[in-house]
Amino acid sequence: MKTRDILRLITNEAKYGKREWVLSYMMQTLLMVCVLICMVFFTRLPKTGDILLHAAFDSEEFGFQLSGYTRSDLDELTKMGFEDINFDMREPVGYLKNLEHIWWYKFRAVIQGNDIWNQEIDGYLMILLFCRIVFAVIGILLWVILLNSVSNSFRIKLKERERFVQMMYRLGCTKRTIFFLYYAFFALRALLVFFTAVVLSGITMHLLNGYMENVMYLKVDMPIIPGVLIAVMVLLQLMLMRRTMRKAWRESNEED
Amino acid sequence: MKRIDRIRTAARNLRAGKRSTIHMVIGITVVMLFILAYILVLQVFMGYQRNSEEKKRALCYRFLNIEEGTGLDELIQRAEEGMRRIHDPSGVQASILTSIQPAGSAASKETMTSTDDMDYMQFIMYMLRRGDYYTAGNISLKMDQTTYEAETFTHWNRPRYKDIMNVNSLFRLGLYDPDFGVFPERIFSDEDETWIYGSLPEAPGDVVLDEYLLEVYNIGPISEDLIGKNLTICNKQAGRDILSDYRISGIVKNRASDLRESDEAYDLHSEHIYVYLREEDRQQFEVANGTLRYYYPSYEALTTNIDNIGAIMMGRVEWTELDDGAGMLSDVTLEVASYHWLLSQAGRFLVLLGSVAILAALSAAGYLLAFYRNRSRRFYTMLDAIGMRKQDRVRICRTEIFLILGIATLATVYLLLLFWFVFRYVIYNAMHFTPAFPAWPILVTLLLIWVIIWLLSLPFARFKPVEIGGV
Repeated sequence: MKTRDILRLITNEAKYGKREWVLSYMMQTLLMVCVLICMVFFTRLPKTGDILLHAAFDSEEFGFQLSGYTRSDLDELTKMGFEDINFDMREPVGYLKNLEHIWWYKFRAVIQGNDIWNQEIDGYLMILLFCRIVFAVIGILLWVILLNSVSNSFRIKLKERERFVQMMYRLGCTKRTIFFLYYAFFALRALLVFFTAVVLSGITMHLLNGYMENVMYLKVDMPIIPGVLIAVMVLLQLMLMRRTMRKAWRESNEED
Repeated sequence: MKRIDRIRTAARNLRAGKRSTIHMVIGITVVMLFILAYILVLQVFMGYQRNSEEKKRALCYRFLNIEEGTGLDELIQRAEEGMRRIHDPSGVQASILTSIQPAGSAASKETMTSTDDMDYMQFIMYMLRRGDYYTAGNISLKMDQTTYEAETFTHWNRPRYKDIMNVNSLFRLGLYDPDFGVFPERIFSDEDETWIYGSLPEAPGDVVLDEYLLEVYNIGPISEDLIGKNLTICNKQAGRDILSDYRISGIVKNRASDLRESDEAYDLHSEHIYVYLREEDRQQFEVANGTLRYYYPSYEALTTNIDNIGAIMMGRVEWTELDDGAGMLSDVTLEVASYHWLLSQAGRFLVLLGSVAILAALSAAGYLLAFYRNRSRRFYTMLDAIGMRKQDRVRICRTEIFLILGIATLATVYLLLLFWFVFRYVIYNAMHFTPAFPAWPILVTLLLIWVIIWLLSLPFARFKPVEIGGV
């Protein structure tokens, strides 16, 4: 089949089920924006927390009690970023400038039977961890809903166009071409959703950065596009599309 | 058509399209699970915020120190002026917490010059001997013709409020004012009788004292029988009565001190007796150690009343520069207010994000119903063709949706409980906070979800049959 004809068929598909794809576009965009924002917060909260605490306490570094650590752990502690480590006190003390990975250090310490703590800022760190957990949980659940609604969108479309697909096949169009037709159609739809979601989340992040700078005096610069995240989501949707289409094809042929 | 036949038909149709039914059930389960999990997380978030503030409830105030020697009338004026400086005084309760001393004591202390060869302790002992301070040793209490002396002192393992350790310990005579009470309603509920026998002073000439003072002076047994008796406070050293025939209106239990005062307060007060002075007695006293406290109904109200809380928290402004005249904050109050402010910022964003996400999730449910309609169209067309009434078709459709919702609800509840156990475990280990399961919000939300999905399904239940053979 000529490329021009394939493109014509792809654009023709947009005329059918207009209400459905407009609504699904709006809904998936909303969901995508929410997922992006949740994931951005999840990844950027440690950095934000680091800036927040340095500003609030007006301090370049924070002292932590290193319970359970001995001189043999000096290399490990140095790799974590601890400086001026003093083992001569009842409990070793070390100073940390960057708090971005502090929860990971605490978690590792707990697994090893040790503890890293600072009475002054532990409360704030817990709040930040709580917020991080909340955003992660919401983001994951929204992602599942998004994938579910994308899958529904594929199935509705293919169900509606089932007879058309059968007609094309009987007219001699290969299975591969038909699949390509719908891959391309859904890929274009998905790209539209992605770009709109990226623009909307960009605007939201811009407004949020402004709010954080003016109200919270934080210059955080939340990223507009978490690139790896987008790439993973695109890949997942393509895999889902492929699986759904093959399943729909099988079901359609079984009915015949 | 009989109900049992409708249910049977609906169940068979669902079983016939098992894959699609499972797809529907999973879809609705995910939507319900998301919404319920979000409500759960929000409730835990709010519960954590509430819990951390409740622990520091006693510190939710701004305070102004009152100079020693201030007249009692001037004190009242200062309290009123402080209230006027608060942006939003609704719910704010002012308290005057001050001990009183003989008028002129502050001035006479100032006459002691630095050339006098005394260190601080010698100075205090000198003042004690002069009688300018009231001490447990030079104050006696008279009740029913019996004079009581301070005899029972606790030295070891004593709680904070037991501060009368010997005869030289200060006897702090506290001032009670009806408009600026010493037991704020925010901390002491009128309905809770566990903190007081009797009542607070009702008229000039009333006095309220605490169990500990009665214990020190061996006045007993401590019971409601003491209410209404007349009390006279005598200054043995000066050889005269300080206050005569004041009626005991109430006895405060010792736990009241723990409720009101926190070890982390800058302005700790430990008066054990509060006197509602008669007019003729007011002139003989002045402020010894006074604080005006403005109790806020919540930390939300406190942070709202501080203009630049964000700047304070971010170190742009020193908290001591709060010169709005509405009082200072202790370090702990500022810390809790900062927690609250931080959580509020995150909470606002969470609510906004959640509202949008719930909207999107509910529209995903609508999507599922559209999918269901497409899938069931042929079946209902067949029913129409064999002569079934529209009413019966609609009822069968609704029964199917009801069954799907029911199965989805069971699955959601199971998964939600799993989620709850894991979430609670994580929260407990990370934050040492045990949240309670918010049963009522979850039930109400579940009911709302059912209503919304049911309403969304109504148009789908009335779909037109397709033409046989149509696309």
